[in-house]
Amino acid sequence: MSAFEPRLDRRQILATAAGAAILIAAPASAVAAALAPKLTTGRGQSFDLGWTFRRGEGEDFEAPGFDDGAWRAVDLPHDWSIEDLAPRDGAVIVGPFDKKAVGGTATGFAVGGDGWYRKRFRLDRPKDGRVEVLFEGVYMASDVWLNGHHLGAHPNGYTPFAYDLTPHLAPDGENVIAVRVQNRGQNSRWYSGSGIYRHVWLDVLPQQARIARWGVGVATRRITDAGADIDIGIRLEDAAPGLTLVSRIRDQAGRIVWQAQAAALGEVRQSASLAAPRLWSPETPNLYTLEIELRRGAAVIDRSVTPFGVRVITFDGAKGMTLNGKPIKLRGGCIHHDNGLLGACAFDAAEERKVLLLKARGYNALRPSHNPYSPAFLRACDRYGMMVIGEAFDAWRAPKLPQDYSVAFEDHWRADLSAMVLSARNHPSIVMWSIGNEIPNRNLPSGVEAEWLLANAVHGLDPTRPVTAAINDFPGRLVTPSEKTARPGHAGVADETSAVFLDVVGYNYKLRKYERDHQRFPERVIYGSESFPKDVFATWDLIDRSPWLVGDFVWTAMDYLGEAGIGGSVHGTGGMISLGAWPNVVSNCGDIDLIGGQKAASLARDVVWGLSPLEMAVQKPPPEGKIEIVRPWGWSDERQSWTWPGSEAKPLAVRVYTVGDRIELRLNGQTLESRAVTAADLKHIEFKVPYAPGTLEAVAFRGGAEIARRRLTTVGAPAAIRLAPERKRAGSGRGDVAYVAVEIVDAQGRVVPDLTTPLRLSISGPAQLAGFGSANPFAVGGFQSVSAKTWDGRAMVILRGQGRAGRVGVEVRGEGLKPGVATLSLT
Amino acid sequence: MDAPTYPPATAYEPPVAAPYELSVETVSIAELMSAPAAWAIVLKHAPAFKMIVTAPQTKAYLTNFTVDSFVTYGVVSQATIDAIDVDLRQLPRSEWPAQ
Repeated sequence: MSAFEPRLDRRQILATAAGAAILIAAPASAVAAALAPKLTTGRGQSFDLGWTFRRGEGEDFEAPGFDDGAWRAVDLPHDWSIEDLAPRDGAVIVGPFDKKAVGGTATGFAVGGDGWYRKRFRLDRPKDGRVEVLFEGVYMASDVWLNGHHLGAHPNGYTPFAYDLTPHLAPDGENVIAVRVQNRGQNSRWYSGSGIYRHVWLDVLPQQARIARWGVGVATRRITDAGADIDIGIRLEDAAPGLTLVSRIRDQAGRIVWQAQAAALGEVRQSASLAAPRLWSPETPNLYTLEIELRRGAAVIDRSVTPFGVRVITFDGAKGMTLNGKPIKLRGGCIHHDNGLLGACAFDAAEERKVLLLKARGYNALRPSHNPYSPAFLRACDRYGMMVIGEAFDAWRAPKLPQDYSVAFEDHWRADLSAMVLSARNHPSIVMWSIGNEIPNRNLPSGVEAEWLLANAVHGLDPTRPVTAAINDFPGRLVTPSEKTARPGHAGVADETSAVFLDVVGYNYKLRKYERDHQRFPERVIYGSESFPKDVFATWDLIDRSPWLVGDFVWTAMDYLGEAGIGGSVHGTGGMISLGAWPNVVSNCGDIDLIGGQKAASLARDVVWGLSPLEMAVQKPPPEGKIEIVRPWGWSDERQSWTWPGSEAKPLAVRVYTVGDRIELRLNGQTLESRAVTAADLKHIEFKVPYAPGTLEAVAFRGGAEIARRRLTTVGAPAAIRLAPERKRAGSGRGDVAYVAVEIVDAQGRVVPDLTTPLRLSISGPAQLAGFGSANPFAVGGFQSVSAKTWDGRAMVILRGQGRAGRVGVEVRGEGLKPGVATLSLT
Repeated sequence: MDAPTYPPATAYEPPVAAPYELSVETVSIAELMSAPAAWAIVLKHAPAFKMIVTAPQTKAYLTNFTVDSFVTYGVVSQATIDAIDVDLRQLPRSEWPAQ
């Protein structure tokens, strides 16, 4: 029997009668400390529960004796920027948004500032062991103290970091950890969130010897008919004579398919052979698990569990990309890290939901922009088969904003890059590493050297993956690298400064350059690291007929907070269009909206990617005398609706997306028009149809045979609220969230589109409100109150577990509407 | 099939720059701004650049942008860029941006 205890099962602890009694009696905000699990020996114990929080700066907050009794109890993940702001005289404040926020449109008018967290915990100082705390991500600059001792500072808001607590643990076992978080000035070009927005873990090891943090690497070396060869590297710390390493690989069913034993030295390399391996791919995301045990005799003193996948990925300038020997295209989308109404809080279920939403829309690749993402996100990508570009930085030495990462780059880039690569290198979903996005001054001599330094550092950390970067606009002039400096095989080969040290070159918004550059640089591996949504047709037309073009990542796959109003459209009379301003708070450039709904751009993509043979949407009629002007990252305001009161007899633009070669359009049973769809149409055509209530139907034909039809029907007056839990069962832990969709429907149960109406929410049972709001791109309210408004007839409720199982009732009421009710089971 | 590897290089030596011809695609806006005659050509054809280079969205990226970049964003037409290109190509080398 191992002396090692695996991660605590919080639910078992929560099930105690005493714990349950406290929970029932106390409000959610006051129960956090009661839920915090007792710490024991083991790795990866949750350290999320039982913190106190105060927004703002102050004296002696790090002191162990400081009285934080008046502070707010919080559990992690936590983001104070998504919380409603207090009203201020003369300020224009809506929910968490402040018109005068220093971040402006970039952060979606969200507010940063300073915040402090404190947590008391009982843990005796181990006699010979080691205690370490791991933060998955804190935005932005953090300082951590244990019992008043400063452990360190971490300026990067996205990379994980750890501190050894052992020397400063209190002799009496009563400890206080304090964390100061500063999100000051203009430091982000998107909504960042503020605070400890990802998980915190504690390792309590019985001895000093251990498997180094992120010290296990596992990669596929070869796949043949006989099986797969796997390389394993294990780095140990304080390894002493007499220790042994036991390694084993389990398949998805838990069967041991390989094992070995070795003397535990500082650095151990092993080779495993797997017969008939089940390969990882987006279609079949098979996973194996590598278990490493560090033993002294029969006692296990440390243990790591590493999921991995068996796959081989190649890139070639002429043939493109292959996965396990088969050509594959990156059907990609860029995303930011916030979870909409939850702000930046990286709840596991929210991260997984994001991946599943995009997987369902045909994406097989994501570019988490422009920073490392949460482990939960990467685990979901592994499990569901989503390829990932792991991106490190949005700035190097030259700033994009006065207080952005450039101020810390010089001293911290290597540590941050190492943390990103080493912590995530075993995820099979990660297919390449990006060293930067649209980096200013990259073509200057200092920038070229930085490009080499970063690319080379990544190659040193993980030589199994190519290095890329997202290159906007000017790629620089031709330079020729020497033998010492060049990538293998590229010495003496002239290339552009931005690309010369990249294995795969990401192009931002350069569709018109792809073919020309392929002619100029036939060995260059090219993909679109960012593209405009409206270019989906031309982009994929080119990709589908160009083996050398690896894929594309649209900006963006999903709406996010911040970069307010770069997408969408406005009504005007023509001329230049400006990007959004207050009260825009959402980017409005995503295929998927802020609460997970499918937008018109996604309907088009469904057709382009073969998920659907036919889709139809109608442009929202502009006001009289105005035209719709689509922003650069926008899409026309199209809805799947044929309910346009007030537009009777006016010609409406009906956009049809199809793989058919002919479309027949019918209104109320009468054929209006039958039109051929040619190759030049690139799968989309537009009809003008005088609006009359009823049923609009599009029928698609190919080769004379009907392949699909779509109907839009005029709906009746709003009659009821319908609630639809996305899952009937969800976790009950404080780290669990569950989504309940809200729709306004007519008497026949059809969603009433283009409707904004106030709602009021009530929750019964062991759940707490985590988010309530809509996909509205404008600041119309907060996300953490029981009042919200629909947008386009829809809203979303997000519930957070209170740490005990039970049935949760949700009721949403609205004036003149039959209330919506739903029940969820939290287990 | 063997997995490819991407080993690190051994040392950094500045890559050797190749000769180039002045055009709308071979120099950044920052470089054009540093050469009065070249920048005058740009502003003659596209006065909007005077404002573009001071905009917060573009200011940080002037070494990343060429004037040609702005066709993509719909700010200037291809015809305007072509006209700038013709004039830039006739500029004597002594008037080129310093390297």
